Amino acid sequence: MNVLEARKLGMRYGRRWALQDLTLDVPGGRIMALVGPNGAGKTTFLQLAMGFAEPSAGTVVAFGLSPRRDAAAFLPKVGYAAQEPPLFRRFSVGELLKMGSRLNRRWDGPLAASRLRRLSIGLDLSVASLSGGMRAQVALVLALAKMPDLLLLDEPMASLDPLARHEFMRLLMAASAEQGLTVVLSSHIIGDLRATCDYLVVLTRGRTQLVGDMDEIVGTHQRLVGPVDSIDAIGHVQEIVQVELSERQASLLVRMRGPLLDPRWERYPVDLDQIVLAYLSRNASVSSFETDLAAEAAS
Amino acid sequence: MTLARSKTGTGAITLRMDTTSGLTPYLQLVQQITHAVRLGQLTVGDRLPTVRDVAAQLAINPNTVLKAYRHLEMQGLLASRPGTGVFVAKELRGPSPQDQAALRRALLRWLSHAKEAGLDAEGVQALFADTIRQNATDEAVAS
Amino acid sequence: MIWLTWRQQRFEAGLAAAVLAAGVAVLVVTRQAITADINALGIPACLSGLGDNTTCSSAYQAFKDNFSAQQTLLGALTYLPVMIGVVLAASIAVEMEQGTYRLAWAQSVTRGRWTLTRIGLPILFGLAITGLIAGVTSWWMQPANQVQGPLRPGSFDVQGLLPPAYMLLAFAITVAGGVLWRRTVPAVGLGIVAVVGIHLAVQAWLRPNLMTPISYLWVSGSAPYGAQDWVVQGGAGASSYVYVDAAGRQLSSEQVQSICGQVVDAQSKDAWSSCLQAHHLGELVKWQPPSRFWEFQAIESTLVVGLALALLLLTVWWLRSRTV
Repeated sequence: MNVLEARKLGMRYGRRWALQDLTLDVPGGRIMALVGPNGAGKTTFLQLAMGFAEPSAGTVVAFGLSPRRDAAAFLPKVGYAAQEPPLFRRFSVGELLKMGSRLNRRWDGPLAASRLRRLSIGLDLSVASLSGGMRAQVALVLALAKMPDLLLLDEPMASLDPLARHEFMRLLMAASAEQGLTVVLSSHIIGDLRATCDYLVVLTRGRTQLVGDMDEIVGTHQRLVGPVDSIDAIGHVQEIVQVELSERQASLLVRMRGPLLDPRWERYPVDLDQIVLAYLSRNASVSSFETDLAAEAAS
Repeated sequence: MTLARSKTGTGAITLRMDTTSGLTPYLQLVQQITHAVRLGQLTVGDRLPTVRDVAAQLAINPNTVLKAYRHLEMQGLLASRPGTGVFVAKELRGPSPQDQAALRRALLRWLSHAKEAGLDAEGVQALFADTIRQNATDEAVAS
Repeated sequence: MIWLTWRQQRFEAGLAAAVLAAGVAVLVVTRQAITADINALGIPACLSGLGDNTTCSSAYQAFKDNFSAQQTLLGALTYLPVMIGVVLAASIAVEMEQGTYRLAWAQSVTRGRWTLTRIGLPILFGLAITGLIAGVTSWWMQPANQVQGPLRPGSFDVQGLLPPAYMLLAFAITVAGGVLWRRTVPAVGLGIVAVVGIHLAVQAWLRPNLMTPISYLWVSGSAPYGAQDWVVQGGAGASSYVYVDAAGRQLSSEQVQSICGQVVDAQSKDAWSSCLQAHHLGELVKWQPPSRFWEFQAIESTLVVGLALALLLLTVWWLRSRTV
């Protein structure tokens, strides 16, 4: 059962297409990682899914509803939080909860309050006094408190340090277990995603490059190292994603489609970072990605 | 994270998530729980923590925990009782002393083959680790 | 949604209410002084037709001189509604700049209801406050109106329907700027500058001719207009005069000066009129009578409110279709 369906979805700003021809299904009950460099269209996709804007082309449908035309029926089913979440600075955390209870039909105030208590975030604290990590958590608690069926998170942890990200993820995983959610989590930090997300979509330049079950993707991609002259033979059986050549050796990142029978080739495991990077390199324009990966490795 | 034993109240096991391991997350949990039962850290009747608690503590997908518990249920190691939770259902005994001895002899024969073929100690370790991991993944994909 | 709008704007609302209270207090106190001044100068007698011309005109003049001390107060009262409109709208501009509207849109309230309440409620509040201000200032102006008429620039702007109308225009311009640019400071700046500019332009060029003024070819004798009439062309104290000759052609002050100039040097008013009569020249004076007060209020406020509504419609459309 698909919770969200995009069909040939496109969005144009002036002459630039931020999204083009995007066809994507979000399966229910999964935590989906939406991955791609800055400018890939992740934010645009999520904004269209929320109904913030009208698509320039194609359709996006959630629960069989149009986010804009059926807003009154759609909005109660979806929660949303973004990077550096916009929260009313002069409000207290408690007043944010009050806002939520006034503006939503379904609202679990006691659950939200208990989650905040567990995070040691006092209800009388003013939003302006909260750290970045606390703000991200408050935004998530707010989005969860309206008991949505679908949660759209647009790089919610982008400006957080690793500890804050871990705390954020713990909250999200617990809530996912407690509330039965479908989550779309967009991020350009891959490290957080392997253990938390069970569905992967790689997006570059507004188009999908790789879609599928996380375990299956990581399990079926391998690095093969072997003689240059038999690359074609390999290519007939496996799906070659990336090729690196040295004088006598070739290093291939492949998706295994069949058995590897040639003993001259060695297999090595690849992690999610390398898989995603390979798919992104297929279409160039990965500078921010590599910078992020380098920064991740250094930290 | 720690698991408390429901009956005697002493002893505990720790579940960890290793992001650098080539093993998929749910198989890591399967391995760790199986290991704990094999070593006697968990015995029949012990209750495992809820899916929610494991997911929250380790910051991993609840479906992963669910998958691991189901996998072990399929194997018969765990059993779930609706409303109460997931419990250890059977004990795991290792191979009998005769089987262990036979395995050891087979391994020694294999090692001498490997040495003749030119594989050094490091090569043996690498091949061993890789084959185990690949085998586990193949098993998982097949199941 | 009502609670949310109130909570977001409670500071501005409190400020506006405080200013209203302070303003009312000042007006109540000063009105006493104005009435006392009128009585002291013996003006009531003049108004009922008693008293001779010279004493009355000097009494009127004395009052006008005294009343001009209230200029600053009048100026403040004129632009107070504008400031209220800008301040109420600034909160919406801040919301657009900081992106907090997305937080509201991510809840379960539809965009239409959000827009209606977020913009409508401050408007209603602003109209209420400026309506009250207009009521109190109209009452405060009554004594002065009797002496110098209600249509004078300065007096006209603080009475009747104009304060709420200009508040609405200031609000509409500031909100439009805030929604289109998503920057608060330029929006507020635009709001203030544009409204003041429009207001001054209307006051100087549009208002005198909203209805065709009464014209009179004044050749001799006392002024054809009364103290309460608003003279829009010529008359005592005007910056320029228009003269008409026997054939109906208009002459400028300079042309007439060249004809009767030497006479003026002699500083004799009668000599000036004799010269004019001799050359068959008359001064064309135009004025608007006080009876047209409410028609003028209606016409000008309709124009101002019409412009404001157009901007508000544009803003609402932009919020629904173009804002992400």
